[in-house]
Amino acid sequence: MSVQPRPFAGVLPFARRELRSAFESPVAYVAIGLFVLVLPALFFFLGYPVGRTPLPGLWEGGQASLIVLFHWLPLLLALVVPALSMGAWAEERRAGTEELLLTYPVRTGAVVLGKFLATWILTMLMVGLAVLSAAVTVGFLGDLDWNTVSAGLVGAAWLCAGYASIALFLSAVSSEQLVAFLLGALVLGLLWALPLLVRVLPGGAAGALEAASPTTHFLGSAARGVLDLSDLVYFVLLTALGLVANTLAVERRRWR
Amino acid sequence: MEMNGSTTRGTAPPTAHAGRRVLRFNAALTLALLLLIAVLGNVLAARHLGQRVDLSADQLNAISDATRRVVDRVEDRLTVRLFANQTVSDGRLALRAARVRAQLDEILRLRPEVFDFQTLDPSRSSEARRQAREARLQPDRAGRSGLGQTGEEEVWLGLMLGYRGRTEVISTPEPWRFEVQVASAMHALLSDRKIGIGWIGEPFEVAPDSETAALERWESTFRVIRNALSRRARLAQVPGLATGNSVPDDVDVIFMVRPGPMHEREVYAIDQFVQRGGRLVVCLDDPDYNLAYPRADVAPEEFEGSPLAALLRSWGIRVAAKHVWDDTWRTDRVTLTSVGGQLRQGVLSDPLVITVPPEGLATELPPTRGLPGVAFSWAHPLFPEESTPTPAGVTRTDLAWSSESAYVTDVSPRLTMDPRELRVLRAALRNGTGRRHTLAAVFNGLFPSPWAGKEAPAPLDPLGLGRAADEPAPTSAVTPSQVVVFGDADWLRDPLPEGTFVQAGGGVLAVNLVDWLTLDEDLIGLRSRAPRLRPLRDFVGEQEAALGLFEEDVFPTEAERIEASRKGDLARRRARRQQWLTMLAPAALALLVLALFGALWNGLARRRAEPGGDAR
Repeated sequence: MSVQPRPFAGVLPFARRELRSAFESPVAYVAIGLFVLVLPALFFFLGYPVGRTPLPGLWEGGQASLIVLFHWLPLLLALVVPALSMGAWAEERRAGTEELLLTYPVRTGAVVLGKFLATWILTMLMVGLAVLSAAVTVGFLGDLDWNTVSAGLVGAAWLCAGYASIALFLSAVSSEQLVAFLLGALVLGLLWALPLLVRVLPGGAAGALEAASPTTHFLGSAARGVLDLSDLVYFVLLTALGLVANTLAVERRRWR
Repeated sequence: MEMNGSTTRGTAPPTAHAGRRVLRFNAALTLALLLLIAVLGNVLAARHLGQRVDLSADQLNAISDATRRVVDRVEDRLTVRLFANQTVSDGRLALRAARVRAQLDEILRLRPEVFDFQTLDPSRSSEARRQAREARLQPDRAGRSGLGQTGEEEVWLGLMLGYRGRTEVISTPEPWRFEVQVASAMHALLSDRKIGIGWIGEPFEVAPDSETAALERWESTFRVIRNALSRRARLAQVPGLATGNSVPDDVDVIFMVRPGPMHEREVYAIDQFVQRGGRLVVCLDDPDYNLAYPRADVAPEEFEGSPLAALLRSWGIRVAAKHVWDDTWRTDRVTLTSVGGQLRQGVLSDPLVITVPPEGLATELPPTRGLPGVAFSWAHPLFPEESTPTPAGVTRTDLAWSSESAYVTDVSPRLTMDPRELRVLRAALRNGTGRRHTLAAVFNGLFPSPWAGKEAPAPLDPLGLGRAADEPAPTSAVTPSQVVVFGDADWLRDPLPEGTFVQAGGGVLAVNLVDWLTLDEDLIGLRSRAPRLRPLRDFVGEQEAALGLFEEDVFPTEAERIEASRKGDLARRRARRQQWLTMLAPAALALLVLALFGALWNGLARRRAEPGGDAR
């Protein structure tokens, strides 16, 4: 009789392994450093010129608020998260370590969860540093509402979780890193762009698409300082969907 | 399996093929089921999970306490009839309707037992269309964007609330202010009667045949405030007080705006109105000192000796004839100066036009709570309580005040035409000691009447009819009341069309005052639900002030111009440096934290990798 491994056994060691490999190469530092510089720069100088009501940059708007910065997050993360996660499975496959990984006496789900945790922590570190550095600047310049910043960070954590699980799934079904990145950026970019289609779609479809977009669930509440249970349910389900799909994709290969 | 590389797709036994197919089918089925669960879960969560917490300081995204109080006051069934299309082709209008509906549901959930909610679709039902037309609702017209659909569609969105035989209609519900719209409509339904406001003093607008009509470009009217007050209450002038009439019983609040010379009997009628518990708002503004008011007919000495000044003095209220000069909260305004017959435009940073920010307003009092600011022009300070004590039973609370570095000064109307003179005066004032001056105050309590124990003053009697025999004796300090005094009336005026005047917050303050004085603080709570302005530090302004640059002079000498330009450039350079420092320092700190973290992580990893280290 074979002994079934415990459901979550191996999650943390796999997460540690992923984080170790990320932090031992300069790529993660360069990515985080760039993000810490680019996101506030867009917020300070460019504003958010997307959609029907473009938002001014910090200096032009003259208000102590991070709402413009939060508007950039869904779009930038749609590009950055696939970049951080593209190698999670594709690189394992290229280096030939995937087979070895799958022979460990742990469930596939635990490996997937470990990789997801690592990507999530990495993304959150990046977002946290960028948002907090901008918040410190704005807090020095005016009366910043730190509660809204905190809620925005919580919402960003949910958003990162959803994005990371989808990007990891796409990495699992891609043969190469570049394909994984392009596919991830395309899918997350489409999810980000759904609210932009509202004007050209009929009412029912517009409502459904808006409800399906992570951008709406983030910008509609958490970015404004509101934590909504229905948004949490949305992101939990999105993340779960990505993780299960990822597990099934890896399982499929394990038994191929 | 491909794991050992020996089995290929072509040579796999039939059972392996079947196993893979089953596996794929199971995977696809699981994914499809999960997707279905995700969609259903989201739909259910969106419909039934209304729990949310608004952590923001402004609390704009949650139902306010004021709305809850209004809803709590509903005693009978309140009918809420929503006129809306069941399906809308236009995505934008569909989302607007969805957002309005979501907010309406949230309000209805507060007390579902008192609401009778109905949804009607005027685009499908002729009866619903008839009712919508009766409620004077108009549909939006939008192009159909669905596949195979062309032409226009009528999109209905409106709300009718009914309570005890009365109705209120919200013809254009807006998602960004829907809560205020609904709560205000409910409040109107719950009120027994409309508030009465009496207006004494300045006419609402300049008579077209008056000689000042030509000056209307310069002299704004009170149309905007009249319209704002009219929406909230019955607003009317109070005539005939001098001839013996008393203030009508249905008047709750009197606005006395820049009153001219008043007969003693008129003042007596106002005193007795206050003695009955009526609320009074007095906006004193000496016209002799106001450039926008060349029709000056009251000298300061005359005013001091007037019956109105005597009445106010008896209540511990005295307004100085001088003006408040405030360099800290000064207002930029456009000046037009005639030079050689031609008008020249300039920008003047005018310390006589004061935009009082929230820190100059009493936040503990509902009328000024949440206001972004109020602009006062050539305001007179109220004498401090130490020099003009209030009588026993009357308390005073300051409502608005200048900055700590303000002065009072005698100035001539000519001054605003010459910025250089303004600058000389400013320099002279700087040698003195600035202090805070009160611009408005609230007086509460039992107000003593100057006519207590005396006979009422005789009314004007042009027809020689004599005094009424049954005239009641004057009353004094019987019913508590409130008197609000402003040393300015310009805060109520309309913005001037030429943009030569800056108005801020006046209209909202006036309506807030009415609601507060008539004990309707719920509406103030609703109105104050606006995002608080959070301005950034003005580095350029700070540097300009540090370099002594105060205003743009419209008549500079060449040397002055060059010097001002040099200082301006220097101020901007310094400000830019400060801006970059403010932006880069936190980012640099974040990168430093990242670098330290990386060094620590890799250092530890190297130690673990060394022989004898922790290899885990």
